[in-house]
Amino acid sequence: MADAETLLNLAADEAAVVEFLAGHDGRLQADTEDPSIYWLDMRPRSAPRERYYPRLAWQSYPHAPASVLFAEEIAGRLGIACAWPQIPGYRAPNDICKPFTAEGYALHSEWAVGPDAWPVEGNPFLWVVETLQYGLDNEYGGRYG
Amino acid sequence: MSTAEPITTVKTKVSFPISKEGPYHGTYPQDTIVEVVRVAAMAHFKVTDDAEFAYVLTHHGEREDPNRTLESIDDGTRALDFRLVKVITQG
Repeated sequence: MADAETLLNLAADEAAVVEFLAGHDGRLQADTEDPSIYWLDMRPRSAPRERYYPRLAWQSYPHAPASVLFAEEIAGRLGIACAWPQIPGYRAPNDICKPFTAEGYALHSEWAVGPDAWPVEGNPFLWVVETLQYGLDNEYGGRYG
Repeated sequence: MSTAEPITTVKTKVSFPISKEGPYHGTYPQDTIVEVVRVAAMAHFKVTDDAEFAYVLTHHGEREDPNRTLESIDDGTRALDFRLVKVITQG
């Protein structure tokens, strides 16, 4: 479970994420047991019937990136390849190897500083969700599996 | 009396969530291309393109061609909302 500061900061930034997702036929749902975990329901612009469910698990917000993995449904199982979209840098069912996820930063220590460093200003929660939506809308190559 | 056509302008707003700055606002002639807005917004947010990533403008989720004119995107409201997105190319 994340610390109280993280939960307060997430709560402050959450409304903008909800608004953004609503504008893209998506939604946000906090985990029923761990409030530092969020489940997203998103779709590509080009494929309205395809739904994807990223799970964001924050440890220290906004100081560190969230783990970003895809689930088979809201609060569903992780590690299912066909739950992932085909997008460059998305390596189903293990990780997104890009500098906006905890998994990416864990693999690339060189991203810790410089232009790829994790951003702590503004609303990084919204930034992560916008980055996911951008991939679905502009780089989507179908579903894995 | 002048016979010149009035210059029609388009109000633009660019959002970028990971910045201390608020949204960028600018008003441009309708024949301005997207690239002009992108460059101005990047200056506002104090970011620059890099060998490993670039910043692009999206409108309703779609990456905009930098050579399109604002007039060609505008739906008649004379107001356009863009988002500045950092497109990461490595991984």
